[in-house]
Amino acid sequence: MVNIVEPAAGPPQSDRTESTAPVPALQISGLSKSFGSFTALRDIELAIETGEFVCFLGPSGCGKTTLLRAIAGLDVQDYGTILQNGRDISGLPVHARDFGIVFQSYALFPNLSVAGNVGFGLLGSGLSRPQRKARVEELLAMVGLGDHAGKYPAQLSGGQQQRVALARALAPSPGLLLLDEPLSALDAQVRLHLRDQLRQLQRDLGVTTIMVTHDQDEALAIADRIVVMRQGEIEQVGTPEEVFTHPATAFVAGFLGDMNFIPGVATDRNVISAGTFEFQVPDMSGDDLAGQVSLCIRPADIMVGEFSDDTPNRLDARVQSISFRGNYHRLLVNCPRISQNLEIEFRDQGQNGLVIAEGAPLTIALPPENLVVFPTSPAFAPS
Amino acid sequence: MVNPVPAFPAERRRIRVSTSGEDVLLRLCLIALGLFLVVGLVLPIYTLLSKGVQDADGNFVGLQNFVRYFNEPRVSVVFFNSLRISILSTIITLTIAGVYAFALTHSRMPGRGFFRAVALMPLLTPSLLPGIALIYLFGTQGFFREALFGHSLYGPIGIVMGEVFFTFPIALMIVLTSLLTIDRRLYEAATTLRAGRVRTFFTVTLPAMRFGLSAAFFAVFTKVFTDFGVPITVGGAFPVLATDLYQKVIGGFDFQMGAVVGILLFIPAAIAFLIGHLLQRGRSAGIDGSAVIYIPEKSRGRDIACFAFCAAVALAILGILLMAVLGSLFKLWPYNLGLSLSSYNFTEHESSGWGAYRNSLKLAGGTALFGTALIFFGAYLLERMPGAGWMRAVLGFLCMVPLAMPGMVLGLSYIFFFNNPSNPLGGIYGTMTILILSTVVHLYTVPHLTALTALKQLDPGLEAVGSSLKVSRFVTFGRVILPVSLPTILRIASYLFMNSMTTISALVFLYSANTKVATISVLLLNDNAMLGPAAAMSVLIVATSAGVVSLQWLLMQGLLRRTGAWRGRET
Repeated sequence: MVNIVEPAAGPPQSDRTESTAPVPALQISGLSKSFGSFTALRDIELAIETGEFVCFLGPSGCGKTTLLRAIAGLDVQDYGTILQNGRDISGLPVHARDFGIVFQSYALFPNLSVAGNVGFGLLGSGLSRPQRKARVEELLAMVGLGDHAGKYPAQLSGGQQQRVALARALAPSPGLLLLDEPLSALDAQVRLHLRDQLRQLQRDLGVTTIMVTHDQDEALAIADRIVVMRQGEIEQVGTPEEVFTHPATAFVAGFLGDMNFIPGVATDRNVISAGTFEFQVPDMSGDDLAGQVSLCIRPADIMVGEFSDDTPNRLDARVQSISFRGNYHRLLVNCPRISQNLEIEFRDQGQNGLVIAEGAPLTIALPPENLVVFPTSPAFAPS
Repeated sequence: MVNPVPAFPAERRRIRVSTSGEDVLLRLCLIALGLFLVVGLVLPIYTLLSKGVQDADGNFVGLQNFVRYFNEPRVSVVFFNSLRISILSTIITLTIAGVYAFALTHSRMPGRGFFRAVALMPLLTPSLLPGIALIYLFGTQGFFREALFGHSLYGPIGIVMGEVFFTFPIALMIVLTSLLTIDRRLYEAATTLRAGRVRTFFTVTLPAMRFGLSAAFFAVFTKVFTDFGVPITVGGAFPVLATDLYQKVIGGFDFQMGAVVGILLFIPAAIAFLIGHLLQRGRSAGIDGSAVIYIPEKSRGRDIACFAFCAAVALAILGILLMAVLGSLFKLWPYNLGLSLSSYNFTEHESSGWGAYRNSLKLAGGTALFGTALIFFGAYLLERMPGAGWMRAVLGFLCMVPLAMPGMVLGLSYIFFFNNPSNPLGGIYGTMTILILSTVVHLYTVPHLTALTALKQLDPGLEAVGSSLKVSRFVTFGRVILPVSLPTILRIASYLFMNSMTTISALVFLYSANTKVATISVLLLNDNAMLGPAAAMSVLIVATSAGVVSLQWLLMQGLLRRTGAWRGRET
């Protein structure tokens, strides 16, 4: 009997030279963590470049906070490595890592003044007392709290507290800033204002920043790149434009912004039939999309009005309900041929005497270039 | 990216967090706490339990001791005496406390603050005090002995009266808490649904009270079942387990039977404690802190009835306290009722003179100092230290055990454990150290829970932020956790001091000639029919407790004023 000796299993070692490529600020590979039988993170691979602002986005329980806490060393992963600027920090205790952190609750020291909070991390830094004082003043001026140095956290508004926490985290000039839902405890108005401030500050300082959020608007507005997570895995990594306009999965499509899902069957390389209607879609021949699929289109991309006969994907519809949303009307229309309701963002631009009223008939068109097709995922049922 | 990947490939190395010096130190602290609990609690209890199944020579005899105990004809009588007394006292206490608590929260009678303060006063007294005062009031020479219609105070009547006085504030506090957590909006909803007053009481008030009452039932039952002070003063020839245990060990040196009685005392107390604990745990899950406090409407009839009831109860409490004070001032009761301070001249009545009182101060001071530091830091380790999960769970459980341990059982187990010639720690037997150790362990649970509650309220990120700023946990503890928790620490210290002043149960077995404390002195003076000096010493204990509570209040006011800027609104 002949034993065939096979080469050792495992990924082939790449031969490409990495000396010329810049070392990423954070290189996460094979990261996994479970709590009991619950898998919180599964085989996370991610690289973050120096100076980047990255958002971890996902619904609660998706593992985004667990990933952040693993990076901080607060909940160390079971498996996998984290390299910070090439240094392996996988098993280092919290205080041996290089980061500043802002929690959702801010965790300000209630018995210390604003200056005391900001200067807390400078005590063992080897700076002299005047140097520390100058640094604290500099930071407070930076976050616009120069006049509040002597106050206590309880005497500040939520937004001010958030900025104190930020200044405190930045005081020792960490190489990495971690933000755990830093804006979600604030009122809507303050949140928008601080969001822009945070972005500006991060640009000015150039500090690599990771922010955890469940708010897609926030992530879209603030991030250089968004890491969309679900059930402990990364669904997609990309710029806000990429993840919004080219979602990689049906989940990403549904999580970032509103989306209509139309179940159908791929019958040809550019045809999907749903109900008694056949949709023209972009060529899918490169994708593995046989059988059941979901056809997606954003409410703002559906056109309403009069169309010429050669307009593809024209559907008769009937208005079910109308609700006013300020800049537009949200229409819910019923399409008998696909036996389904669709949501439409309708901006009235004087479409030749169009009557929009509940119960009124309507013609809509779904431009093929705005249609995205995903295999119907058993784990994710779009609503 | 959606391809399923095997979660944990086997060949990958599990990440281990490298331990820092700080982690090692924290773990050592946790081990030290564990050692304390093992030496102060686990080993003594184990020794006691094993003594229960051994003969005098240390041979294993199974349950033979228990068989022997229950074959004594007197025995089942004693056990059921204890049971009957406990149930009767508990029912009376709960009835009074229930109505009293209702009056305090659901009426607008005048003097609610005063009534509340008076109701809590028995907490300042050793349980010997009501017994002594009752002797003055209803004893064979008592001022109001006719009120008992010829029945003797000494026995069930006296014990029940004394226990009701002694346990009233405990029941009241529990019931009061359950009433205060009723949301006003429930009453408003009931009114809008046109429910009448009676119906509202039965559908809103009573269900909320029921949890408090059942929790209070088990707390009071345990307290009465294991109390020693009241039955030893007014029990007369009516034996209960606690006095039986005392006589077996101190009178008869029958340690095997002592162990058996101790175990019998422990089991019902432990069961009652467990049920009460489970009840409260289930309850606290249902309470959110956002209840709007109920403000009752004016109702003349109800307010007058409530006032009359509370006034009667308050009068009884004050009467007992005043009687003790008066008793301590009589020249020679019942023959010469002129007033003098001669009873306070302890050197004339007892060999140790004022020594016992000084010992009490030492004990209380030592317990407050050592106990507060240990309990607070221990709670900090258990609540806020990362890692060491199973060890923290085990220690957390051990910290709860003392609440279920009757003091006398703890004291007895200390005799067995520390008075063993082979125990290297035997040297502390007969010293103040063992008294402080036993008192800290005996009182451990309540302040531990106080500390846990306070520490839970602190933001969990404080230490994490400190660590991210490369500041040691110990520095964060000293600069942030400790200052923020000062009011809690003060409360714990005051609790420990006050309760060490008034406790007797564990100490009756552990004091020596040099370490006799004030409560023991009251017991001995009363035994020697020196009622006046016994009353005087009791009054001194109450005065000291009251002084400490006032001091705590003053310090707290000062503290809150000084730190008000950052505390915001907090009490």
